[in-house]
Formats: sequence, C-alpha cells, structure tokens
Amino acid sequence: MNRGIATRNSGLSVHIDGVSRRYGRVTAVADVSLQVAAGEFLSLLGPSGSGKTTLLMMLAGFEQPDEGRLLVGDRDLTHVAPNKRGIAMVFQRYALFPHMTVAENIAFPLRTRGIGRAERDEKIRNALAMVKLDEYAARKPAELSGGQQQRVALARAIVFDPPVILMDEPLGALDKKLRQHMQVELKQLQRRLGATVIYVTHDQEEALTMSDRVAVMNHGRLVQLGFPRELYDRPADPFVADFIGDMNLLPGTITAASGSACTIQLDGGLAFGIAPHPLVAGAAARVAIRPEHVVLSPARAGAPGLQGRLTQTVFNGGTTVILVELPGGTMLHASVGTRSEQAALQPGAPVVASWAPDQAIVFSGFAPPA
Amino acid sequence: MTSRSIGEWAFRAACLLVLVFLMLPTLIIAPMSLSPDNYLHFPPPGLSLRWYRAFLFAPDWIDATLFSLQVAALTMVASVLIGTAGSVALVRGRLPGRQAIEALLLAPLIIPPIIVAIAVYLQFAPLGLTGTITGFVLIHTALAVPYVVLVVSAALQRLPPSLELAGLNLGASRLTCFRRIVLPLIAPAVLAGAVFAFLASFDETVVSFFISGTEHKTVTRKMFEDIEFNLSPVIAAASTLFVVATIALMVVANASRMASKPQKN
Repeated sequence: MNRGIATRNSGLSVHIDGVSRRYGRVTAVADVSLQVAAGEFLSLLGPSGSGKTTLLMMLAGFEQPDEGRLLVGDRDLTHVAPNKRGIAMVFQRYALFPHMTVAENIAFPLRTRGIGRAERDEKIRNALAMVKLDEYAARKPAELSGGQQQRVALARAIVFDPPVILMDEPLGALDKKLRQHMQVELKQLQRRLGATVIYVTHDQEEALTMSDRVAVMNHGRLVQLGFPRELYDRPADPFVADFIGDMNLLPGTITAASGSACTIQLDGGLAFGIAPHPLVAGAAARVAIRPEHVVLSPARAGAPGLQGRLTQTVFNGGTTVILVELPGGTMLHASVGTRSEQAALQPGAPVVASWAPDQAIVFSGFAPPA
Repeated sequence: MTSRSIGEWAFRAACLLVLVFLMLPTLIIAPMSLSPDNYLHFPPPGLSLRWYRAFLFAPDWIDATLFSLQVAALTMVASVLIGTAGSVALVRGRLPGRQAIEALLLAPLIIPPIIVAIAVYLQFAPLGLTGTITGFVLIHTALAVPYVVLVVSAALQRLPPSLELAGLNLGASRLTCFRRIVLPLIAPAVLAGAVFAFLASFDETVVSFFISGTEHKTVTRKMFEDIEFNLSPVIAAASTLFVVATIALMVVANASRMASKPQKN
C-alpha cells in the first residue's frame, strides 16, 4: 500500500478471530472478530466497560484470551509473550520512565533490541524530529508539559518501526484544544509511517475524526464496524445511534409498513422513516433522527409532522439548539443555523417538527431502554 | 480567631510535651556518660571522657560491637533480598492466599519478642545454632524482613504498573524491566528498608539475650550483663555512641524515603 511520502515500513494486518475474555462470571469481551487492514487506522469505540481496553490489552499480550486467536500479518500471537510481539503501545498516562531522560526513554526499545550506539542515536534523532521535540532530548519527563510527554511516548513507540501501534486513549489527559491539535498530528504521523494503528477511545468525535474505520463496542460485543460516515448516517442499532453524535430517539408504534419504509405514530403526530430491517405494522419502534435534520415551522392547522411547543433555544455559536416539548412530554432537539428563520422562533410558540423520510431511521424489535 | 489560635497553641504544647516525654530517657543518657564517677549519676558531678575510653579500649566491648555489626550487616543484606523479592510478589503477583502470606510475613512485628526468643532458643539449641553467627543472622533476618516489606511494598504500590507494562511492550524481559525500571525507582525505599533492617538487628535484645554464647555475644547482651554486674557509666557511653549512630542512619533512611516520594509535575 503506497501512502506517499517517506513510508519507512508498511504496517501489517491484524486479525482478531473469535476472541473472548471472561473474569469470573463477567464477560469482558464476547466473541469479537475483526479484520484490520495493513496501514489502517481503526478505532475501538465504546463506553467504559465495553471491553475495548481489554481487547487492546490482549493484543499487547498483557491479558490472555479465553477463546479465539490474534494474528498480526501471518503470525499467530495468541500465546506469544508481550515482550516478543514487536508491536508498540502508547499508554493512557504515557508511562514514560521518570528516571530516564527523553532520549533514554526513546532509546529503551532500541537497547532491548541490541541496536548499536550509532544507529540508536540516529533513530532517536529521527523520532524526536518526527514529533517536533528535537530540543528536549536531555530533559526528564517531569520537566515537560502533558502534550510534550505525549509526544515522547509516541516517539518511543514509533522509534523501532513497529508494524502495529496500539493506543489506549492517548489523548485523554489533554485539554480540548491540544487534543484536537494532537489528533491531526497523530493522523499525519500515522500516514507517514504507514503503520497499522488500533486506537481505543470513548470519545466518538475523536474516533470519527481520526479513523479509517470505527468498531463500536458495547457490553463486550462488537456492535457495528464501519466507516465513520456509515456509523453516523446508518447506525445499526439504537445504541450506536445514541452513542455516535447527537440523536433524538423517539418511541412510537408502526402504523403502516412497506418493506423497510414505514409511517409511525409518535408522540405529537405521524412521521416517516426507514429501517435497516423489514418492519411489521403494529410493532413498537423507535425513530432516530439527528437534530440537524429536524425542520421546525410555526404551527399551522393540518401541517404534517409532530405538533409541539418550543420551550427553549440554546445558542451554540454557529448553530442554535431548539428544544421542543411534544404533547406527551417527550423532548425533541433540533439544531438550526443561528441566522436561520427557525432560530428566531420564540419560547412558548407552538411549532411543527418534520424531516425528510430517508433521514429518520426506525428501529423495531429492540428492547426499549430501561 | 483567638479561640482557634489558643486551641492550636494548646495542641502544639501537648505535642511538645509528648515528644519530651518520649525523648527524655534517651537524652538523659548523654550527660550521664560524661560523668567521671564510678556510678551512674544525674546530673553528673563533673565532665570526663573516661568511660568512652573504657568502652573503646576494652576488647570484650569491641568484640561484642564488631559481632553485632557483622550480624546486622549480614541480616541487612539477607532481609533486603528476601523482603524486596517478597514485596514484588505481594504487590505485583497474582498469588493465591496473598493476604495470608502478608499476615505471616508481618507476624514478627506483632508477636511478643520473648515468645519468639523462647521458641527460637528451643529450636536452635539442639541444632547447635545458638551462639553462632548463622543462628543470629537467621533469626534477625526473620525479624527484619517485615520492615523491608512494609517500606518497599509502599513504594511499589506508588509505582504505576503501566511502567512495567511499557517496558515489556518495548521488548524488555521481566528481569530487565525490574533491573532497569522498577529497581531504580524504588531504590530509595530499598535503601530505607536496609537501614531499618540493619537497626532492627543491631538493636535486637531479647532473642539475642537467649541465643548468645560465651564466645559470640551481641553488644546488647553485653550491656545487659554489664548492668547486672557493675552498672558503670560505660553503658551510658556505649548507648550515647549508638544513639548518635542510629540517628545518623535514620536521617539517611528518611532522606531517601523523601526522595522516593513521587514528584509532582
């Protein structure tokens, strides 16, 4: 795979094959299978306790799967000791060795590989240049800022040209501005190296921004694997719909269905939607609609859509979020341009909410949330 | 404001009194050791270094002191090795019955020394271990290991496990991780543990009293004998020297424990 500039070595594919891990009666990872292509940036996304970190720890060799196999390239790593796997890991709190200088930290993986002094110095210089820390070789980690420590951890991980780099929420401890900046840098770095990256995060925005593909996990299971756009536009179940981006999830009953398209009775009126699966009239369902797809207009008798009352407008900069209360008490969020006419609607005003049918996704046959 | 500061002053005064109460018996020894008289007096009737000379130039005192130092040094080495390895197993390992092992390790701190002494004497006498350096080092190590375990475990618990995981991930063996990452970071605690172990052995009196022989006796046993027979200020002189040495050692131990506290960044 040619990724253009200065590809030093290409990454290897990762194959997670039917992997499970149990702790007593708790199943942390349940039968997860996943193919990561060579050079791909894949995020494992999920709430805490979803099993994403356990999966990463198994790839690193710190945890043993109870079932299944882990392959990197053609090599079965399932029973290989963590120090013999040759894949790098970037830890959440960096895990820099505090008694060593930046250069000594980066030299560590080179020393364990028996790389000679001259080559070592060269590689350290390159790695430091790569993360723009050339001046800091002689500093101790405690003398660096959080962002700088993060870069050192990165340099230490890439210095031995690993084909796969595991990252465990590496930007979690940074403030928002710096995090966004580092996301871009990390992505560029990965492109240049051509290494395969498996990136654990609970931040869906981060996953969508950086990843080639995202694997969403919940309760130890892989619930959806897809391109960021796919996850956003076509979530496979209510959990993904709710977890990725902002989403209205409105409970209702299907009144008429034709294949995967349907009309559905919601709190406040009738609406249209399409489902990822065939639907049955009369079934309970939930409609997922993004706030930016909700169109609001002043209430008119007989207008199609959901009747409601505007309760609050929240200024968010470029967009304004409008909260609409439906007759049964359900709250509907709409996101509109701050300069649009809709943003000028006043609290208390009766409104009608509607949307294009292909933008609403109907989930039927899923248990409603407790 | 005033009621609060009065309370604070009262509290400080109480603390000071407790400290004086604790320290006085030790402090009173120093002037008594300078007495020119043949008996222990306080306050001393004059000033002289006579009893220091008596201590430093008496072969039996020097022999006992050297023997104690030798036992303490060997005990220190043995208990640091055992205590550090044990701490790693307790803190990082997944041992079944970890708590039971921990309790057993720390038992010597809780069991009355006289009970240990009698038990050890009954075991050691038939084995011919009484009055031997091996016997002393064996039992003193058992008594000193808990100190090392306490100090070193605390340091290990402060060390994030991710450091060792990072070491493994970067290709180092477990042994290399320990040598290059863990040991340098817990070194101050290990050093403090070593000082405690040394002192635990050097100060140990009760067991030493039981298993000392005529040939090999510790300086603590020698002091006991001296008190029984003549109660001369040489005891005070010896004690003062040991107190000064102990304080010096404790300063070293504390300084290194301070250095081992994690740095704020």
